[in-house]
Amino acid sequence: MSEHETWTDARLLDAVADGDRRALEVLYGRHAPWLVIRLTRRCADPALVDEAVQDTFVAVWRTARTWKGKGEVAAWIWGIGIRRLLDQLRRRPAVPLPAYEQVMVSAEEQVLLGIEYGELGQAMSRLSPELRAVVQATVLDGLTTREAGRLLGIPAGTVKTRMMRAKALLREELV
Amino acid sequence: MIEAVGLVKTYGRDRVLDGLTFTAGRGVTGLLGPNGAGKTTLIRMLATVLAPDEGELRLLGRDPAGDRLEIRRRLGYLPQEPGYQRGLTVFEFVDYVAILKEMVQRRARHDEVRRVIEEVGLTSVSGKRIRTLSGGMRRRVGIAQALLGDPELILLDEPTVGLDPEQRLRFRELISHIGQGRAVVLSTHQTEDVSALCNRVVVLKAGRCAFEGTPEEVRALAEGRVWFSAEKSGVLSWRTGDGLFRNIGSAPEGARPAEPTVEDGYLLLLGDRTAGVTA
Amino acid sequence: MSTWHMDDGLAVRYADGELNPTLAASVEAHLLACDRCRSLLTPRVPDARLDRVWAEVADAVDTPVPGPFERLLRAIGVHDHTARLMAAAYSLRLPWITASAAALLFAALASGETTRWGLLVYLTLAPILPVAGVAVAFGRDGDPAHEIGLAAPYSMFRLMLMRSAAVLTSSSALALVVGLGLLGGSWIAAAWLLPSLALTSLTLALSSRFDPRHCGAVVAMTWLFVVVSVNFREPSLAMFGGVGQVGYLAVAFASFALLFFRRREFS
Repeated sequence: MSEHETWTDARLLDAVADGDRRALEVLYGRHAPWLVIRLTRRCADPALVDEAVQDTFVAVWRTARTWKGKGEVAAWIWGIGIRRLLDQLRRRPAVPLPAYEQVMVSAEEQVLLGIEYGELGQAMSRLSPELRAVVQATVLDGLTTREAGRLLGIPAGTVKTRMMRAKALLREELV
Repeated sequence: MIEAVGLVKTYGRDRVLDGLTFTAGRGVTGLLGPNGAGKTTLIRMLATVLAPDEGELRLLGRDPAGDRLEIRRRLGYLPQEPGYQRGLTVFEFVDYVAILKEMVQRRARHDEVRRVIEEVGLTSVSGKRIRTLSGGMRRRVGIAQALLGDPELILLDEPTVGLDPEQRLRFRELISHIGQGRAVVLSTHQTEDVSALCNRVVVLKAGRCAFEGTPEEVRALAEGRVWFSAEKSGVLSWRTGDGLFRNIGSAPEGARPAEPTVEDGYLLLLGDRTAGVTA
Repeated sequence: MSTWHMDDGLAVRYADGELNPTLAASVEAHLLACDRCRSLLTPRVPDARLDRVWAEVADAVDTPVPGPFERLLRAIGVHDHTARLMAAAYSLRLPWITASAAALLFAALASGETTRWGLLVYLTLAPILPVAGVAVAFGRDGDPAHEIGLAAPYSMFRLMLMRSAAVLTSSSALALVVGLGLLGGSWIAAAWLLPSLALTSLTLALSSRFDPRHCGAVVAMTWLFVVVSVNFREPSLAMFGGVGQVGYLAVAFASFALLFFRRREFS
């Protein structure tokens, strides 16, 4: 039992593929909290987030075998999680999302941004909220244009045009 | 918990139980006897699966002839060959038995199934098919289903058969644990199970109760009747690892005594009457 | 990748949604690769919420997936626990059903070739299938927890009746479909129905005393013997005519009476 807690995520996932319920429980303990928070930042309704997290870990149980072993388990879980959230949003009427607002970036935060994304990060922070949201959804969350459109409540075509504008602006900034 | 007086069961010309009388209460009671002594028949009778031809039986203060349903609701039973359907997972099997125990509310039933699986330490494999598990784990699945509904009486028919020593040890720990606050009756032909595990023991011989008491009392029967010698002597005698013979019976003068064990007492009880070696 | 990690303060602000979006995005990208920082977020979600969601996950993961037959039973209104018990019988599982369907198909196709004997084959075979199905639904091999079930409060008699009814129904449905499809729409295509009922109920009634598999074998053999000896010289459908059908009904009736009378034997 406590032995499972010393295992790596990859090993736990392997055990889950093998039908080990305890391994799933430990994975849940490690990943559910950040998943809840990250999904809450995409959708303000906690009931929908709970359902999405629930569906995510059931999906982890059922499809553990399909993980190729490449990259982080957390990234794989996020891919499942965001799509489950999209499924939930599709079934219920659209819930207002937290506004992506322009906020003053402190000096310290500038440094942190610089570390994670370098100049790109700083350039990103100067984009308008709509453009930034689109970049975040497609590039950072890994969604397709259609899925991004569903998440943000805009047509896929609009996602595409905004992406093009964002890329153009970023290219300008970084040149 | 169990009161049996003069139980008789005949199959054809075979009087499997021949006037068996004993009682059992809380804690772990062992039914000790050689194969064919009627242990399985008795366990099945205690599980209300079989009815005695003659005699009186009271289980949990009730008469199985009239009040079977109420007894069954407070009973857990692990037969010798539980017969798991191939392809069922641990959870599915225990869930199936839970339905047989009248747990119709799905959520409450699943919680109970999870509880007993946890109690026997099989949570990590609850999603696995039983046929992929080792013998020791399968046995624990059997214990899990017997624990459903928190029964007052648990019956285990030869639960340690076929287990290797390590599995047997872990199994005994489990049984000790579940024996607290309940009546557990287990049948076995191995005296180590009895000495390690049981508060009381009932020795069955030829369908009757040859002895009823604590394992210590069984052991005490052999006090002064076990000795070592260089050659075979006594009615029961066998060679030990270091070349000497261990004998049970009336010790001759000046013989080198040996420390008696429960097994010695048991063998004495089973011993041949005519040779004058009985307890 | 640098050795930058989050501190508690940043974790709190991120969890509370107080970080600006771009910084939050950096944090999120970092979290995907760092379990140390992920664990900083664990106390930021209430335990009660996490436990509640986990309970749902555990239940969804544990719940046995019902097979097709079980789903069918539930669709027609049978309680899910009863459906589970019924569907656990071997003779209600896919391999058995497929084998029965194949046997019936074979018999029906064969009966298209020759005339009298052919049809007789079909009418003889169709009642045997539910008998075999019932024989295999109980006892050691048919039931997942036979011996344990005997000591359980659930009425084995009731279970047996329900299962037999399911076997009879599924077998009859198959035979009806195959019969009507391949043998035309006359009453002949269903002349096996009452014999099915008679033989199955007889098998059940006898099972109160003997091993169901033996009962099934004896009943099936006797039936075959009777059919063959009656029709040996001149194959005819007399056995399945009006008088015959009344006879089968009588046998079924008597068997059910016997079954009811001896129902305590099954517990």
